[in-house]
Amino acid sequence: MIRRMSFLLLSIAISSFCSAKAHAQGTLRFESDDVLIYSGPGQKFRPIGKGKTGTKTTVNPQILPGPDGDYFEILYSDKLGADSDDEEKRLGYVSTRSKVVFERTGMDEGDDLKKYKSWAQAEAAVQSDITILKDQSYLWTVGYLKYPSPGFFVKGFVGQILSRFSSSTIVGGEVGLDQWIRGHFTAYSSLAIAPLFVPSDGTLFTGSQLFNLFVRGSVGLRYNADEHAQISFGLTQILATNVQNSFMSPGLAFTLEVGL
Amino acid sequence: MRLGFGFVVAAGLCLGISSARAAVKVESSVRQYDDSLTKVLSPNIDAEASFNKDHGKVRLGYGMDILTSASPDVISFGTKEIKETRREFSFGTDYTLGSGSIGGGYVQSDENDYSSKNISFGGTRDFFEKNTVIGLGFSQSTDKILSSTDTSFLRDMQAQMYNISISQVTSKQGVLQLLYDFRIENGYTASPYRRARFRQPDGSVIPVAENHPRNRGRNAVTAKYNHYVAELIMATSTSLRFYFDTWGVRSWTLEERLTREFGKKFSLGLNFRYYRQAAASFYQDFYAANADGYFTGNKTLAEYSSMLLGIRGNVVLSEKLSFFVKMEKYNQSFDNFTDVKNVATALDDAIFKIDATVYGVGLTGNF
Repeated sequence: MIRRMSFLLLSIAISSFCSAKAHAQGTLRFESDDVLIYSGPGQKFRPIGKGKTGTKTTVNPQILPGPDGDYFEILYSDKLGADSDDEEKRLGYVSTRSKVVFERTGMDEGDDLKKYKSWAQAEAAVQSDITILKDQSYLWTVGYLKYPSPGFFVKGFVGQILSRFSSSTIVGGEVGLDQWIRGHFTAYSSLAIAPLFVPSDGTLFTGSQLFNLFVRGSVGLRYNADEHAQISFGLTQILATNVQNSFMSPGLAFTLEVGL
Repeated sequence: MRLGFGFVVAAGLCLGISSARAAVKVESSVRQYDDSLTKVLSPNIDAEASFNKDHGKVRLGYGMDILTSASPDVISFGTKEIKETRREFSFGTDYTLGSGSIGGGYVQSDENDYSSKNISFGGTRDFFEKNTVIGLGFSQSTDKILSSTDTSFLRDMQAQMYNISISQVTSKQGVLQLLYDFRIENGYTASPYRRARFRQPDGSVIPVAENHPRNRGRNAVTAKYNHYVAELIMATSTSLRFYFDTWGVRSWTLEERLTREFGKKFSLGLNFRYYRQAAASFYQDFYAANADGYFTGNKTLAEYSSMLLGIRGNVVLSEKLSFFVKMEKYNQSFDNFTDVKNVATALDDAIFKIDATVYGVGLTGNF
């Protein structure tokens, strides 16, 4: 009896020791080059990478529910499936409907997912922008961004168009699309519209009045530094117009964005 | 910028040879428009190469419009006929990313008295498993306008265009799309050849060079619905477009396209378009002798309606080649644009009408 009890206690001790150390028990194998990996469990999160056919990565065997279906939680780095620094690894999420195969492995095989962070993304940010226009004119804005989804942002902004002899004020809104390219880089396109106020008639362009319309379109490249700070460089075109006349200019835009 | 067809074909072939995995599509076509006063012959060649498993696409195009016209709005008084050739070169690229695409393009168009350069950029983004697609696009163009009758004449015009679109898959067979386009033209918006017509007290007509507003803001809202009727192996495309601008022009367009497959080798397409326009606020067929302000001789600023009916057949010749032939009948009826004919008397004046026929043939190769 005592022998039985001591065996039982030993078993409990071993099993509790094992359960404390046990972690990921599965790998996920990609069967296509087009499987998107998201920063969270759902398509509303930012795509952060793609799997490569034949590569494997550690996966949490517990499937996570998302707003548009179930997701695997995996370990992701830019060099998926190859050796990479732990600092570069993050948690990623793959739809269970993707072309992937889940393979159960033994205890302690693969990394412990709990020690890695997600690619957290700010849902709101402050963005400042400086644009070089033609004829020694400049545009600056500062705005507040909200990300209804990582690939889509809306922004409210204030700013000024600075020409050689005057400054004109804009207060408006912008919508933008953002798409993951590779690693920390995304491509963006955006469209802004705002009322433009000039200090006096004829300022900025011949025929300008107190109230004018400002429109702007931009495309460019963004570098997302750990998802909470972003810088971008892009091509832009601006338009200041009223019924009588217009001012048009191409430009080069630089932005700095800090997550809130 | 004068590039021959050979260059475009060679470029297409080079793209095909340079990458064994690239797919190249080349389409060559010729179109002829004839309304008895104006004839336009338009040869065209387009090449598209895809790379990196079809994620990237590069397009090159070259086309010409060889025009001969004696239309009353383009001939200057005393000139019987104009002849000119417009050449257009285009280049574009777009790349499909994880959940959308991004792209840009360049178009240059030249004729003896007009040149235009246009740069465009844009992007799309998919949402909800590609069921919803939002697109943004914009472009900027710079035009130079000259006159073949006045060597010192040189004007410029700039334009910017912005558009936003949203597409929604409504069923397995249907896609609905809403588009908004905004375009601003600024600079010389008239023509050095057209003349506004001023009726004198004695009944005769004096031509006066056009005086247009310097600025024109144009807006268009379009709704499109594409549907596939599986039982009939037929695709339908319906669109309704409403347009308005700062010159007071208002128009709407209804368009319907039907395409039906007959086996794997043959398909037939029918298209119909109806267009109705209200005149620009400053448009008049004849201006009073002492009129001031803006005046124009441009018939496309008059009140008019037009209708187009077309048929197109497509035959698959082989795995790589297909051939199409099309014919369109086009009718344009003006409410308030008169063909003056003899300017000394109003007796032979008549409301202007256009009845045109368009023929087109083309060959498409996939390599």
